[in-house]
Amino acid sequence: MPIATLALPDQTGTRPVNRDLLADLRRQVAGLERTGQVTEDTVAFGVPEIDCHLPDGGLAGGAVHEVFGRAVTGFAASIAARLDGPVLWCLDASRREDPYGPGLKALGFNPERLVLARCHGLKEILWTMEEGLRSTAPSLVIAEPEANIGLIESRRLQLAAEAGGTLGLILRDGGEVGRLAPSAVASRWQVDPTSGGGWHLTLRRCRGATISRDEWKVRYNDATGYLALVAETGDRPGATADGLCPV
Amino acid sequence: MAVDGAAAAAGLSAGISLADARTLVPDVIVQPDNPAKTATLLARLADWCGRYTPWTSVDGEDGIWLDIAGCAHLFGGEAALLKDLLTRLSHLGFSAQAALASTPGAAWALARFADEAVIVEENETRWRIASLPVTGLRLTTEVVSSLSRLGLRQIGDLYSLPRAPFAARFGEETARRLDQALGRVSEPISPRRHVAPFRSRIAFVEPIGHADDITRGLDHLLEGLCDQLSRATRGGRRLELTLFRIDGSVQEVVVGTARATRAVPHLAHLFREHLTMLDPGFGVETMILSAPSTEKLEADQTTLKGEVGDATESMGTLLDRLGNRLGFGRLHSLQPVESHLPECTQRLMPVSLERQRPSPRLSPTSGRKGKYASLASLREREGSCAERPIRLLSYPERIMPITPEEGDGAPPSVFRWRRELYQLRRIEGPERIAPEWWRQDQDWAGGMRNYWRIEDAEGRRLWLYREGSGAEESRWFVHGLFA
Repeated sequence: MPIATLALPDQTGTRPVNRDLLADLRRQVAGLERTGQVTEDTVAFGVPEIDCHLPDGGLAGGAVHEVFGRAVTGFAASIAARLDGPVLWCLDASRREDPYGPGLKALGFNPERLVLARCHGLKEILWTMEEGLRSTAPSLVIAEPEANIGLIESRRLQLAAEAGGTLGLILRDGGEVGRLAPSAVASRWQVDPTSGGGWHLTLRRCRGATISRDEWKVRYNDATGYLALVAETGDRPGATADGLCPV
Repeated sequence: MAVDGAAAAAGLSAGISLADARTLVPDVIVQPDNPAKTATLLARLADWCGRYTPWTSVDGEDGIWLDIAGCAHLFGGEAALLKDLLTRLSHLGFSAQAALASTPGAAWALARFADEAVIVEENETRWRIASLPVTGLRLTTEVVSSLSRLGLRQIGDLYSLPRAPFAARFGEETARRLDQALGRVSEPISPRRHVAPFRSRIAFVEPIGHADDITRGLDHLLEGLCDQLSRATRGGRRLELTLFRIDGSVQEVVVGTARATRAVPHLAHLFREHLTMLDPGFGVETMILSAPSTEKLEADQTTLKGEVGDATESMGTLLDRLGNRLGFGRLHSLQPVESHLPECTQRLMPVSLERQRPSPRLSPTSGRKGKYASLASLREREGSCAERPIRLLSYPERIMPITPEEGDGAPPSVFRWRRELYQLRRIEGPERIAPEWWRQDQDWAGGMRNYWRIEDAEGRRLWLYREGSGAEESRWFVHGLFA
């Protein structure tokens, strides 16, 4: 068992907290916790209210995150938009809805970066995702399994992501959010649509986070390409940003 | 009908009736002929002969052609090759006759009617086949019998006949067979398999069976093949590894690549997974690696790490790995297409077909510029793409309206889709999309569609459309999802 050794300064107590020292300590602890390399490339949401709660200041790169809910596709596309390089998207071949280029483009994700892999069954999806995560080529690997992923599988995927330094997203479209099996993923999110074209973002679990759970209402900002918080009062009936009119 | 050696010794011959055979040899063993099985066996045997030359072909019901031009030195000369072939065949339990000649016709005749396995040089073909029966010219039985009625029993008897009357009397075919045997006209024969121009071969003195040995042999072959490819500035798209087992069976492994490549470690990786599934049996004596499908590939720049092209290169290698497991038909990229029909604006392009697309910046021709400009203007004309869903259904799905349609053609305010109830809260539309008149699209047989974006009480957003217009019964479909 390796021990993190640290030379503490002589005078403790009244001295202000040394930020560099803390950061260094965190890195050492992270290095002990994770077997693979610790990557610095975090995908920040660009919303300080969310990012400040997450240990890495955003979605940790080189890790797998799980996303539940009914707006997972849009969420994944907005994450993909923040990254460069190819994106591998593993779908079950029985899915009847393909990602649609023009819609992805509206979220800032150039569909020409996308490679769709159609897999038969959960095993193939997991295999494909693992291969993608282990490779350094794609910047993001998205998988849409038709069933929840267990502890062993998620652990394996997480190790692959650490080895390749690749970000992975597991989408469970409309998946059951209530009771979840233990999992080795770095964080778990629930994303549901809200009225007015935004998302209701719930952090269900996050390894190393300062909070255990929080909720935000966000929407995609066309101008900046980032997510933005929606004021709670914005749910009034009337003209909204997405141009839909009440019935 | 055929007889084996023991039957022939007992006085039987092919063509004898079964009753006669039973009279001569009461305990004769009779097996019904199974042409399909024989043909399969012969084809497998032809594949087995691939150890000598890539160019093998099945000849009729009882023969195999081998074109050994340029291959004999691998076995220590023509005589050694012929001896090796016959020895191995007899070990496998076949009784075979072989002959080596400069023309297929002469080889055919010699293999069947010479007393022993012979090798006939080009200049001695004429007299060596002269004493063989005319049947050796692959003639029909009618021609053979009419020739023998005239006393023309040996091939040599035909040499002195003038060609034109001979052809007129016995048919052009007969004259041509003689010409072919003597090499006066060429006789093209198609090989059973496409002969790959890039090939590398390794034979083992002692058969190998261990997986590590096979992997090492493969590495050796890959180096040889990639060297050939590199000299020809080509890269492999499909590679075939053929293992010749000591028991005479042949095993084959094929890998494909999404882009042309000649990187040894990458190709070795692609083969690795398949190698574990191979069964070396009692041992492998020869391995042949060939590249039947290649493409132009300019000089390597992949060895330098951290280059700009490095990332795309390794995406190609990832796709190769996925493609060989899942099948290349299941890997697609999305390509934009100019169309205003929602399902036609993108095309799923198999990654293996995708050539390196010219990027707009790098294309100097004005024509290209114009095309991209028009694409850009098309996007602007569409206005915000936010009006398009993020997922499109492969086939629009019909909804079940619970409440009647609103008066102004708006969607029903309560409906059921995929067993879930949707209660409309906000809507936007209609956006009218008409089929392109030059398309004969079955999906658009219903005519114009009115598209609506709707949001239900739970915030779910769908893209609905109403088929047709006016009087007839309205039909509503879901075509896309916005979340």
